Amino acid sequence: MKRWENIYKPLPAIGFLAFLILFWEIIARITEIPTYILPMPTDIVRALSQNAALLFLHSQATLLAALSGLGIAVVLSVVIAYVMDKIEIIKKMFYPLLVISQTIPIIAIAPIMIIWFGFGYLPKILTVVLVCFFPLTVSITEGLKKVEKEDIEVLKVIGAKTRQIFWHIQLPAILPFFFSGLKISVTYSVMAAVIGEWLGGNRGIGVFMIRSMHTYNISNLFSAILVVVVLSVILFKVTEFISWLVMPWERKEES
Amino acid sequence: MDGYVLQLKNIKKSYGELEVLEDINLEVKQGEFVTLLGPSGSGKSTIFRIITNLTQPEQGLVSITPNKSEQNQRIAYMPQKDTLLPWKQLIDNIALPLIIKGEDKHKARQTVRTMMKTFGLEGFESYYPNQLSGGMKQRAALMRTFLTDSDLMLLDEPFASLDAITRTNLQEWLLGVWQQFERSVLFITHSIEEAIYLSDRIYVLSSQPGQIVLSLPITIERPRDLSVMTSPEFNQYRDILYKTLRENSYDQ
Ligand SMILES: Nc1ncnc2c1ncn2[C@@H]1O[C@H](COP(=O)(O)OP(=O)(O)OP(=O)(O)O)[C@@H](O)[C@H]1O
Ligand SMILES: [Mg+2]
Repeated sequence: MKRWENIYKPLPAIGFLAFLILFWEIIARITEIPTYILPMPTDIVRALSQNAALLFLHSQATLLAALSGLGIAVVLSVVIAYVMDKIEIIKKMFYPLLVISQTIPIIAIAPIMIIWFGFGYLPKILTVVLVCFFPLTVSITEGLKKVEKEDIEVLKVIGAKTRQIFWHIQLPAILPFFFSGLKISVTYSVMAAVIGEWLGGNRGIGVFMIRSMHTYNISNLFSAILVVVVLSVILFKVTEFISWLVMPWERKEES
Repeated sequence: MDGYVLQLKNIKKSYGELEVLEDINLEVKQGEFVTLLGPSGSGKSTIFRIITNLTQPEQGLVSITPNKSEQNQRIAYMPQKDTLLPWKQLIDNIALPLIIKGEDKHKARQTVRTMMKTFGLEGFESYYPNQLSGGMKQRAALMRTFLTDSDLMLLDEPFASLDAITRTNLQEWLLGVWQQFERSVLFITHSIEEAIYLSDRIYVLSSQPGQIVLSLPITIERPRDLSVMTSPEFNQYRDILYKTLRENSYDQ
């Protein structure tokens, strides 16, 4: 029974989306707004298929930047959150600054990255790291705070070492928090990579967008947006799947 | 065989202004089942935290006879709160003391598997704690405590959250495994009947500050079954304990 519900759950959203697209197509056709202002969905699909090979190539670059940045952010945030949890003074020094740093718009930092690190992958990756690092660190820090004191005490009493307490208790205890942070980060990561690419370089969906903008090819722009959305959704779903895999105890009863 | 496993001498403990324990003296002999009986807040759990070195007393001495096998002092401790880890299957939860000691995971699991039946948990090896009933969880936590190789077991109200029937069953069962494994037990409860039924000796604690107001040997013959609960002997013990508790419990 459950399974059927799961399949039908997204139907209303899909239906509504289909309706919107149809509506858009009809409006664009009736009003004859020029294609370079508002392309019809069919124009976008055409642009998508014409640029398929190119978009595929650019997507690879964007994905590479997004995933490497995400990977670095994951390692950094686990280490920093753990150290902050262990050493109170470091948390007091670091955590408020971390929160404040989030008020700086990423679009303002990306150009600095470009000036410092050129037009290759590095500035894009660093932009992704900066964006993804925060939600991860915050959620892991929250998770570590919620670890049950008694669980750790029981292990200490039977002679567990710090390393064993980390593996048997702290790491699994933060997983649900880690994954809720990761789900946010993973969608940000594509966006951050694209912003990095806007400012320079010769590969990536962001680069493709800038080039389309310069030639007023709005259909291409829309097709690039579509690619960004699809990439983000795929990454999100993969993250959900991984979290399902590694936390079997969190699964709802399957009937 | 007659040696002490645990001795506490003149233990005193406060949390800030609050005096929790005052001049606690108690002993557990090899193979003995000793119970701490006292009202809520009398400092029973605090005594366990002192024995396990999770907190330090201001005064007094804790001496634990080291294990025969190792000089490394381990204590089998089951806290009041449920501490089965939600992310580990039952078998791995129970094997934890063996794993922490450095045993290989497969070997540890094997050891646990052979003992599951004794603890009434056969067939539930791969369940997660949230899929189990309260009684089973307590049995699992007890089994984990038994697997800590230590002569001394500290059990903090292991049956408090269970319904009457499950509780009685588990008491009976605990006596069985205790006899089988020949451990020394220090047990906490605030149920008078539970204390009498299980113990060789009962220490009664008063309300704050917790002081030992009675040390009562229970000489009901072993092995005991549930029928002893209706014997005249049992009733006498109950009267004494009830009276002592009434006189020494007050609300703050
Ligand atoms: N870490 C702590 N900090 C401050 N006060 C504490 C702490 N731990 C316990 N206390 C206080 O010490 C007193 C004794 O607590 P304890 O948990 O030992 O009682 P108990 O006899 O086990 O009670 P119960 O039967 O309810 O479990 C209580 O008043 C409690 O509030
Ligand atoms: Mg207690």
